[in-house]
Amino acid sequence: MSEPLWLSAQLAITTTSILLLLSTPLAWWIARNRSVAKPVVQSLVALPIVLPPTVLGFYLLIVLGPAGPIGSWWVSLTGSTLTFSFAGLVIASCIYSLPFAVQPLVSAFEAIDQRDLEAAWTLGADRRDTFFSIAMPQARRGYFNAAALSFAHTLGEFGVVLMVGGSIPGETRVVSIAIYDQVESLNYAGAHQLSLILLSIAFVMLLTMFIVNRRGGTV
Amino acid sequence: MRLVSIFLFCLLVADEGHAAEPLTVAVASNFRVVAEALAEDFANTTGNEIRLSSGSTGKLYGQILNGAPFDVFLAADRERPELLEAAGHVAEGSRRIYAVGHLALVSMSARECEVALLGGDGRIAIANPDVAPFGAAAMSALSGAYHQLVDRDRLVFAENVAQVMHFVVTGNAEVGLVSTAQIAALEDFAPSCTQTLRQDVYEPVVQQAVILKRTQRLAVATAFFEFLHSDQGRAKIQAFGYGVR
Repeated sequence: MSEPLWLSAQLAITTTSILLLLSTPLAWWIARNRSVAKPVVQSLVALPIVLPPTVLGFYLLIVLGPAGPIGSWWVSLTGSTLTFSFAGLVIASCIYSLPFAVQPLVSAFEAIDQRDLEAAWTLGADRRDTFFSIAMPQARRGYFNAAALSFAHTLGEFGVVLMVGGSIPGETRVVSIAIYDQVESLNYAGAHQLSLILLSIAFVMLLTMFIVNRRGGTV
Repeated sequence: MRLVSIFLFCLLVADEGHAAEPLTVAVASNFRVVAEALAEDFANTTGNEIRLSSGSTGKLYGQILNGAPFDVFLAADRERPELLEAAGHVAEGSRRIYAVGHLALVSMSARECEVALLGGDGRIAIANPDVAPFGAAAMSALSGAYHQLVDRDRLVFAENVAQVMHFVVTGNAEVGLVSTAQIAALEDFAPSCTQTLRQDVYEPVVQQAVILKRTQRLAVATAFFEFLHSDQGRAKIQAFGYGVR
């Protein structure tokens, strides 16, 4: 009963960590950029919000499959397929939850006063230094929101996993799939138990986020 | 008052539309392609349209218990039709066997099917045994006769037997256990090997059909049942590799 929950937690933590790393440069670029490429990149990032999980799942099954470009590379590297594996789910979740990590960061970076950055530069700080000592601390609310949203969204992931996961206990049977399997086999008691836990977690997470944001103060 | 009468009028119209709706048949995934062919023949002969909804037998069974608007249920086992009958959901005397299904191995790998199953290291896809009778049959073979020979860690579970085929033709599973009918119906994909599973390692899948009590179209449903068991219907079912009784 607790295995799927633990698996979902692992998936959500891994995905959130990777997403925060990847989204930082991406969101910074989007926030500071004025080129024609910006709306294109913004649209690409936002795609998973609009697309049904079936589209994503279908493409992932092909791209991550042993005959696909990434999948075949992975097979030659590790000897196992990327689909039906935890690693495959991490990749799928990173794509699926990307907009939920990038968007709060973009908003936070956009809110930073350009003069603060310029002041740091005139005092001799290089761009990297400026980012870590001025931009990142000011964007901490954005980081908090990005982490909370990508964690919650990954926890709630279902359609993509259903298509590329294969429901393997301890490997790809995350909590949403376990609930689906319980409902399918008419084990409503089991489904209730897991659903209620998930419902509580999701509510508490969102509540925390809204309380923190309402305070208007520090995270 | 006017709003109420408009609302009532809409209800009337909607109800009339309902009466003209096609016969809705819930069909187990393994039989989907055969049901499509049968539905087409039935429509050509009688002029009655059939609408199909497919999924694993367990899933459809759950939907019926929860009031899904199906007229006929073509299951992939006899347990669930029996359970439905016991629960009073089945039109009296309608439950009968319409097909006996067989398992087949299918693979896109260069190896022979049985070699891929027993000696391979890639994934083996079967349908979720809890809800899909073909998955249960596959599981009984894998945990029975093949028990010592197959590594359990290679198993992946599909939602229904149609997804098994999908996992195999995309190359994500090395070998899959499907119904013979699914192989007979493959058009766009050429598996490197297909092989009917040895009869001595599993029980053939006895599939029963029922007319559901809630149907508003009992005459059409009965006609479809007669068609299913007519010489023409049986010949079609056999053409896809099923046994009939």
